[in-house]
Amino acid sequence: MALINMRDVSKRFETAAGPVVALDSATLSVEQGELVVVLGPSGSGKTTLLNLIGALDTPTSGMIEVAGQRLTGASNAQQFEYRRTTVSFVFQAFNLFPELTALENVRFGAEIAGRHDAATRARRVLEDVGLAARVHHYPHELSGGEQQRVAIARALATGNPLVLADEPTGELDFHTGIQILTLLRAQAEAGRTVLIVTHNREIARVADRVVELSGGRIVSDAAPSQRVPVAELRW
Amino acid sequence: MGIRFWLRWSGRDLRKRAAQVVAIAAIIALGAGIYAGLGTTSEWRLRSLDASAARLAAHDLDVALISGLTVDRSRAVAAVRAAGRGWIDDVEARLVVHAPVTATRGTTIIPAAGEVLGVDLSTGPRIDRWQITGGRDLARTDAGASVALLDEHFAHQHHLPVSGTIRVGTLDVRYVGLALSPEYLDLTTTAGEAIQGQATRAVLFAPLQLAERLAGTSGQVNDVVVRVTPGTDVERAANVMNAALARSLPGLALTVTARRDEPSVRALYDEVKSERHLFDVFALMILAGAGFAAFNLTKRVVEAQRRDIGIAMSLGLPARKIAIRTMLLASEITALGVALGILFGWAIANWVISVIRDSAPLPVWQTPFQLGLFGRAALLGLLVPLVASAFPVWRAVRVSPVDAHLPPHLRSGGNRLTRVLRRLRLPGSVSVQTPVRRILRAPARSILTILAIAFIMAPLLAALGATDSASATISNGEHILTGPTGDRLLVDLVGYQSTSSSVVRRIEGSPLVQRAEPALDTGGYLLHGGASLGVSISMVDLNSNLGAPASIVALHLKPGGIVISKKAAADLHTRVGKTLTFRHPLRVGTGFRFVDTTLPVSAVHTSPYRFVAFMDLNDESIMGLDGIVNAVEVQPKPTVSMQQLQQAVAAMPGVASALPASSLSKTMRDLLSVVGNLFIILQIVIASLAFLVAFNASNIGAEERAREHATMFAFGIPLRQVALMSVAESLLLGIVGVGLGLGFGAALLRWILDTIFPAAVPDLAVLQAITPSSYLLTVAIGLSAAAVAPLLNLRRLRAMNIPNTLRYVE
Repeated sequence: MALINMRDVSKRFETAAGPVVALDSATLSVEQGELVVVLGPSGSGKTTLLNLIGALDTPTSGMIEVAGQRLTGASNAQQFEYRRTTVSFVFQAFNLFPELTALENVRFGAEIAGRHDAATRARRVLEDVGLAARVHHYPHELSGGEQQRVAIARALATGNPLVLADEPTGELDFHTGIQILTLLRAQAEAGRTVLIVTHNREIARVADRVVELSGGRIVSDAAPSQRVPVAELRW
Repeated sequence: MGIRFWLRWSGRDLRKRAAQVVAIAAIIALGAGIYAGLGTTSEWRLRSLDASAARLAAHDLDVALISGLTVDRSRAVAAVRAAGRGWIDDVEARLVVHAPVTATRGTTIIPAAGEVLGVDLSTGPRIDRWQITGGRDLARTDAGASVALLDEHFAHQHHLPVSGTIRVGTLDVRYVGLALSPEYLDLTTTAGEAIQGQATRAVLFAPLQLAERLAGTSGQVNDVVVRVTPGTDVERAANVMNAALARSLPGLALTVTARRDEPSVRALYDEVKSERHLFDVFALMILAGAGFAAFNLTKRVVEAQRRDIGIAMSLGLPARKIAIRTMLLASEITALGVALGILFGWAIANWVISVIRDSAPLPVWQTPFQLGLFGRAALLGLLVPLVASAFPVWRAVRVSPVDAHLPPHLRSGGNRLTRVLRRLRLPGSVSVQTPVRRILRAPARSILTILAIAFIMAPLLAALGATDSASATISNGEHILTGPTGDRLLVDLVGYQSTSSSVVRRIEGSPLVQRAEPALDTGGYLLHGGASLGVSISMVDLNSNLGAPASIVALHLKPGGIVISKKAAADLHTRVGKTLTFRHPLRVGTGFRFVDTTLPVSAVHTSPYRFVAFMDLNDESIMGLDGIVNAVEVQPKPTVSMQQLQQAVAAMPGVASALPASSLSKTMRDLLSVVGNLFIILQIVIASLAFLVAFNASNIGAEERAREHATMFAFGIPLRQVALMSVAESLLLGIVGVGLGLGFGAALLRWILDTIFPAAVPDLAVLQAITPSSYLLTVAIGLSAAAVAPLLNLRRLRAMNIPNTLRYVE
C-alpha cells in the first residue's frame, strides 16, 4: 500500500492582486522505501506540495492521506500528532536550535517523537552521519555541511517513516551535498520514504522517481532515465 | 536621503514593533512618572503647610503654662508684651481646658480626650484663626453661649455631621460648625505626653467664657500666642522671652516655644520630608529597574536591526548615517515614554494628594505644576533609553559587515562566562533543558532582565516591610503597655489631686472597677552628654503590674531611679547604672518651675516608644508633690467592657480624660493606614512594571525565536508545550529576579529603618519585620507577571505561518 496518497489536491492563496494557484489538482502516490525527487523552477509549487504532505499547510481542495492518516480535514491536534510520529523535516536553512549542542538537537527530535532511548539513539545517529567527534558542539561551531548532517540526524532520530527534505543541499558545496544525498539515499535503502524538493536536476539522477512541477501542476512523474549512485553525481 | 526618509523608515519600525515600543515607553513612563508624581505630592504638602500657616496667621511663639496653672489674663498679656517689646506684632491670650469628650453618632458613643481652646471672640481670634469647613463660624454674639466649633479631623474620623451636640465633661456643648486651625494640623504629638490621634483627641474652638466655665475660673488664661514682626529671629526671641518671663512671672512654670520647634509642627514637616526621602528612594529604585528594563529591551530591538546595519555597511553607508534610523527609533520611543510619564506622574500626584487630603486635611492646598521636578524626571526618562540605544548602535557599527550580516544565533561571539555556561551539563529532557539553555546562552541579557525585576520588586517588599515593621512595633508596644492584666483605662484628672481626694476615691470605689492605682504623669526632659529628649514620666508603683510593664515589675526595683526606654538609652548614650539629668517641674508655693535632678538609670524597658519613662510613685518628692497625683490607672472588672468603664469614669467630675491604654496603638494604626493607602499605588505600579518587563522580554524573545518555534511546530510539538517553554523561561528569570529582589528589599528596608525612620519618627524604635504575607504578595506579583506575560504571545504563535518562517534563509 502506498505511504503517500494525494488526489486532486489544490492550494490557492488569496493576494491583493487576486488569487494565486500554487498547486493545481495534483495527484501523487509514493510507496514506502521510495526516494522521490520533486523538481521544478521557483514558484512551481514544489515547496507547497512538501508543506501539504508535512501537514504544515492545508489544501484548498483534494485529499491527502499519509501512512493511513487522512490529513485533509484533520484537526490541529491531529496534525501535530502526525508531525510528531509520522514525518520528519530537513530544511534548507537547517533550523537547528542555537542554544542546543548537536547531540541535544538530535536528542530533542527523538524525545518529541516519544523515543524512550532518545539519548543513545541520538548519539548513534550522529555517529552514523559521521559527527561522533562533534556531538558537543553548538550549531555556530559547525560548518554548513555539518549543520545539515545534524539536521538530518535529528530527522532520522525520530524514527518516523517519512523524511521530507526541502532543498537539503541548497546551502552546501558540492562535496558536502554529496555527503547529504548519500545519507538520504541510505535512508530509503533502509525502508524509509524520502521526498526531496530541489531545483537541481542532477540530484534527480539518484532518485527512484522524479516528479516535475510547473505552474502548480505535475507535468511528469517517472523514474529517472538513468539512475546513478550518488558518488557519480556532478554539478 | 533626507530626514523625511529616515523618519518614514523609523516610523515603519515603530509600527512593526508597536507592542514592544508601547511597552518600553510604558516602562519609561512608569519609572519617570512615579519619580515626578511622588516628589510633587511632597512639594505640594510643604507649600500647602506654609500657605495654611500664612493665611490663618499661625503664631510664631507659644507661651504655655504647665498643666494645672493659670494666670491673670491682663497680667499675662502685659508680661509677654513687655518681654517682647520692639519685635512683637500681636499677642493673644487663651484658656486651654482638657476635659473628656463624648460624641454620639446614631447609637454609637465616641469617647475621646477633649481640648477646649477658649478665645475672646470680641477681639479674636487674630492669631491661629480657624477656617470653617462646614456649618457656620462663631460670632461675637456666641460669647456667652455653650457653643463651639469642632475640629475637622475628629469629625471626619468619626463621620460626624457639621453641627450637633457634644458632651464636654459634664456640659453639653452645641457645635455649630467644623474648623481647621494651623495650630492643630497634626494631632499626633509625642513629646511629653501620650500620643493622641485624630480619632481619640477632639479639639473644640470655643468662646473664652465657655472654657472658663469648664475650668471653673474667671479672667484666667494658661496660654499666650505671639506673632513677631517680620525679620525677627524667632529662636532668639523665644530665648529672650523665656528669660524675661522667668523674671516677670516668678513661680510660674512655663515654656516658650517657637512654632517650628513645636513637636506637632516639627512632626508635620519632618513627616513630609521623610516621606519625600522615602518616596525618592522608592522612585529611584523603580526608575533604576525601569532603566535596566529599557536598556535591555531597547538593546534587543537594536540588535534585531543588526543585519540591516550590516547591509547598510556593505552598501558603503557611513556609520553615523547608519545610526540615524536606530537612534530615531529610540528617540521616538523616548519621546512617547516621557510624554506618557508626565501624564502618569500628574495622575499619580493627584491621586496621592487626594488620599492625603482626605486623611490629613489642610486649610489651604497649593498644587501648582512642578516644572523642575517633572523636568528632572523627563531628563532621566530621556537619558536612559538613549544611552541604551547608543551603546548597541555604537557596537553594531564597529563590527565587520560580514559579522553584522550573521543572525545572532550564528555569531560565534560570547564572552568567557557565556562559553562556560554553555558547557554546563543539565539534567532532564531537552524540552526541560531548553528554557535554562536559552537563559544561559545570553547571560548578560538574562542578568539585565533579572536585575530589572529585582530592582522593581525590592521597593515593593521594602514598602510592605515598612508597614509590617511599624505594625509589629505597635503591637509590641501595645503588648508591653497593656501588660499581663490586659487593656486598662488611663484616667487623667483635672489638675493635681491628693491621693485621697474625692475623685480618686470615686474611681476606686466604682462598682465597675477591679483595681485602681493613682499615678502622677508629667512631662520632662532627659539630658545626657549634650543630648536631650522629651519624655512622658509615669510615676507609678513599680512593683504593680497595673502601672508598670511586667519586665520592670520582675526586677523588684526600689525608688530613687528612672526607668527609660531602650531607644532613649541608646539616643542618650547611657545605660543602666549610669546617671542622667532629669529636667522636671518642681512645685514652688502655688506654682511650678523647672529644675534639674540627677538620677540613676535603674532599668531599661523594651517598649518601642522612646518617650515612655517610669519612676516610682514614692519619688514624687523630687517634684514637691508628695501625696499628689493627676492620673489613675484603672482595670475593669472581668464582666465590664472597656467602653462601659470609659463612659462611667469620663462622666465623673474631676476627670479630664479617660482613654484605654490601647488607644495609643489605635492612633498609630490609624496613621499607618494612611501610609498603607499610599503604598497601594506602589503595588499597582510595580505589578505593571514587572508585567511590562516580562511581557517585553517574552515578546522580543518570541520574535527572535520565531524560526525555532516554527521548527518545533514542524516536528509536532504542540502550541501549549512551546508556550510552556516560554513561560518556564520567563518564570525562571522571574524566580531569580524576585529572589534577588527579596534580598534587595530586605536590605533596603534595613536601610530605611536605620536612616529614614529615626529622622521621621524619632520617638519610635521600629523593629524590622516582614510578614510571610508580604513575602508572598511580592513573590505572587513578580511571578504571576512573569508567568502571564509570555501567554500574551500565544496569538502570534498560533497565527504563525510555519512554512514561511521556516524557509527564511539568513
